[in-house]
Amino acid sequence: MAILDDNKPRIILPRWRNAKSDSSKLILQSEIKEAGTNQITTDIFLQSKLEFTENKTFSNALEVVNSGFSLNEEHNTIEEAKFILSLNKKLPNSVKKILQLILNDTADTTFDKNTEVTNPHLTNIFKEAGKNISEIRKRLINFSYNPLLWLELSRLYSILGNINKAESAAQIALQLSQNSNRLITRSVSRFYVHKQDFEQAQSVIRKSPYFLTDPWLVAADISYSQFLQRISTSAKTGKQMIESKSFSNRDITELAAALGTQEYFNKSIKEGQKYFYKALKAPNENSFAQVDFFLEDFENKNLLIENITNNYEAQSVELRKEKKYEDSFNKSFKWLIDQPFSRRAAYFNSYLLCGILENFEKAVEIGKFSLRSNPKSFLLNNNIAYSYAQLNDVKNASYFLKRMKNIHPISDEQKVILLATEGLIKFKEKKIEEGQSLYRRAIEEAELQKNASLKAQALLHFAREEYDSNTINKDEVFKIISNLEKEGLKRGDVEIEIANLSRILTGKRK
Amino acid sequence: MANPAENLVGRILENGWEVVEHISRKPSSSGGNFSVSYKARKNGQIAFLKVVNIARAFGMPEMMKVLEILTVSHNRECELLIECKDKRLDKIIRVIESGEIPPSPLDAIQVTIPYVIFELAEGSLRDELNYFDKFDAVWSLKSLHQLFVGINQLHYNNIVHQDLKPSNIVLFDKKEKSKLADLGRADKKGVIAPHTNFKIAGDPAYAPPEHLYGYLLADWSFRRQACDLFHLGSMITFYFIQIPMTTLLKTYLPSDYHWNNWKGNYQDVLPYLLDAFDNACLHFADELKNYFTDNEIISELESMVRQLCHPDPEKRGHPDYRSTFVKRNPFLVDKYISRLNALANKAEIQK
Repeated sequence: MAILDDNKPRIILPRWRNAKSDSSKLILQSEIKEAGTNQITTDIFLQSKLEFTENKTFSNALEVVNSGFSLNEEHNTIEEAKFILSLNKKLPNSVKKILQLILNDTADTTFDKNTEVTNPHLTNIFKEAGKNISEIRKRLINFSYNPLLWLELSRLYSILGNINKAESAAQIALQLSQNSNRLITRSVSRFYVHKQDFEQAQSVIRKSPYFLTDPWLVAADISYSQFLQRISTSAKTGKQMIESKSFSNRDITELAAALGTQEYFNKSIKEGQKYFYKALKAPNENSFAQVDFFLEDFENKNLLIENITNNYEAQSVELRKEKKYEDSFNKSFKWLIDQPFSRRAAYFNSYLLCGILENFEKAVEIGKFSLRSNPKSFLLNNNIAYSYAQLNDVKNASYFLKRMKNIHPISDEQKVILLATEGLIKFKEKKIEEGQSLYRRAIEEAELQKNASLKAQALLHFAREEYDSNTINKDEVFKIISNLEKEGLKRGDVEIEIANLSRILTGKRK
Repeated sequence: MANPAENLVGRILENGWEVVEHISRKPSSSGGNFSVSYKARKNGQIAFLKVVNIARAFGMPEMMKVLEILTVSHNRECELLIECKDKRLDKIIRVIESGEIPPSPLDAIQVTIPYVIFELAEGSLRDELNYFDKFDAVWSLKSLHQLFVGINQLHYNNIVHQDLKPSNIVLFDKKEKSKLADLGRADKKGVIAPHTNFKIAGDPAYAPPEHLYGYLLADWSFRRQACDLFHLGSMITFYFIQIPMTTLLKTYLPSDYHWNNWKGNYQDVLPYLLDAFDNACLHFADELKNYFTDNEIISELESMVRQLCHPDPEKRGHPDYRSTFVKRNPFLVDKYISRLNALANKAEIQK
């Protein structure tokens, strides 16, 4: 059966995107320092302008262009740039490029996009990643000191599921930056989350010389303590940072969201709300999704949900709550492209497709995509096996079932799911008795675990296969549904499965 | 009111030098330039005369402070120039004489004018660009070699130049000899000058990135000698592609990370600078192919630029001198001098 691993409460983790993305830039650039600190005198530039006015030569013009360009005075160098071009001299490409930038005023054409994954098509993401890895490696041969290249290399390897290489590259990025760059430190720690090594993730943050003075690092540390179910030693510092008002709202948004989450875990709901409202003063998509997970409603929710950049997670969650499943998938797909190795995004998409929309072809496609960076995910392997079984592709379903069986250890809940999925495959293989036996074992196991919801889901899936195999009739299925409704279990995943089953019974199968 | 420093043509100085021609250079309207240049003649020898325009400070806001800076700066520059002359630093422009011009009864403002007389150059590297179409790569390597020798001579005497740029590289003997000029922003270790604590001592358009972002290391060598090294690397790029490294960095740096726009600390922007720097170096190496067919020369020049202009001043300099096992000054340039000499010879043979 299809499963959604969203029983665990959301914990705010650092995002990891291309270091050159706008979102990364916002995290990196603190607002503590006053604007204009680096304003540089332009006296000498003005003098060179005067010299050009008096003596219009190539060298005087070039001096103005060089000087003006480096001091952000391009708009004052247009005359000189045109003059140089009018001389029709053979120019070095670098000079030509600068003249072009000045005359076209394309300030950000300098942005090196060659390492950014831009194509949203799934298979192309891997191709792009592979191509970019090869380009980055070539560049690193000549200049191995560039930590951003190493960090991007690590991200790309993570997307491709090559954890060992990703780790080596992440470590080099960390060492080159001397663990002193907020973005790199957070991204490397996020890598260790992906590797499920929360101790190491926290250690990276704590070894930064800016730990306890940087709200972004404290926020990550508090979250890792939550993952490790430990009392956070930095929460007090985090609270003082917020109270000090020395940081901008943007700089403390994730910290406030992490503290709000902690207060909710401690059952201090009011205190938690206080921090969540602080997080909402200048939220990013991550802090917003965190607040949205805990608070049902808050001021300007609809406005914020639309206006925050890359807010795909919150948008898809909200749309799913509104039962606009297709729209939800459109957003969650973007969420997955934005965070290709994120388990949360992968699980959300996978369940939406195979558990709700019953678009099994797409569920397989996206499941396999996510499996690349999360090969040992029980949930993803299960949902692919389940989807293949629903497509009557027993051979592939059995392959993924085998993969599930090789994942150790598994939780009690996962034992139930494994039995149910195996039962489903047996039904599809027309081995009805074996299928019935496995489903019954799954139901008994759920009962032993006193997990009513899981038992109900197993029961509904069993009923569905029995009905499809003509071993029970429509009335018997309706009776099962009716009993579950009477037991008050018609909610959440059970409600969705009831709806799916009802559609089949009424002949409205998708 | 006529400013006496700007009306010296025809005047004969006490030591026999006659002021013969004003060298045109517009004073900056925003107050950066307090010197006026002339040609002077004595016994048939033509020299370059630079006088301090003290009268220009009169009436300016904080006049006493400006006068103090002018006085101390002039005295420091003269001391350094004389030290260079006495120590026979042959790659530094040679000072001939210095002194003061007493006020003339005819002057509207009665003020003593300090002056320095230098050997007269045939032009500067900046002027040489007028002949850019027939730019000679071998000549460039030879000139660079002399430039590095000049900086080495200064560093050996605990002096840093801090304002190395094309207009301060002057040419002599049919442009076969290159020397460093304008020690106005130079600094001697242990001697305080008005600009000693400036974030950017020289021209900001050529400044190393750490200075542009206001990141100054406490150690004098890392703050000042590292700046000279950046300028040297920057001049390598300038000789061949007419663009200094500061401008090249800007070309590849997204505008949000530009020194005028950045609000965070240097460590945070450094990875982006390194990325821009990497791109800039690749670009430079690519353009060198227009001048050299020998890949070894291209690769050596590229790696020199990478070592000399590294955006992290603590990683700047020759790798042999940055070893943690050998405690030596990481900013020595002698290894580059011998390499440039070898490269110039090699390029000449291949010509």
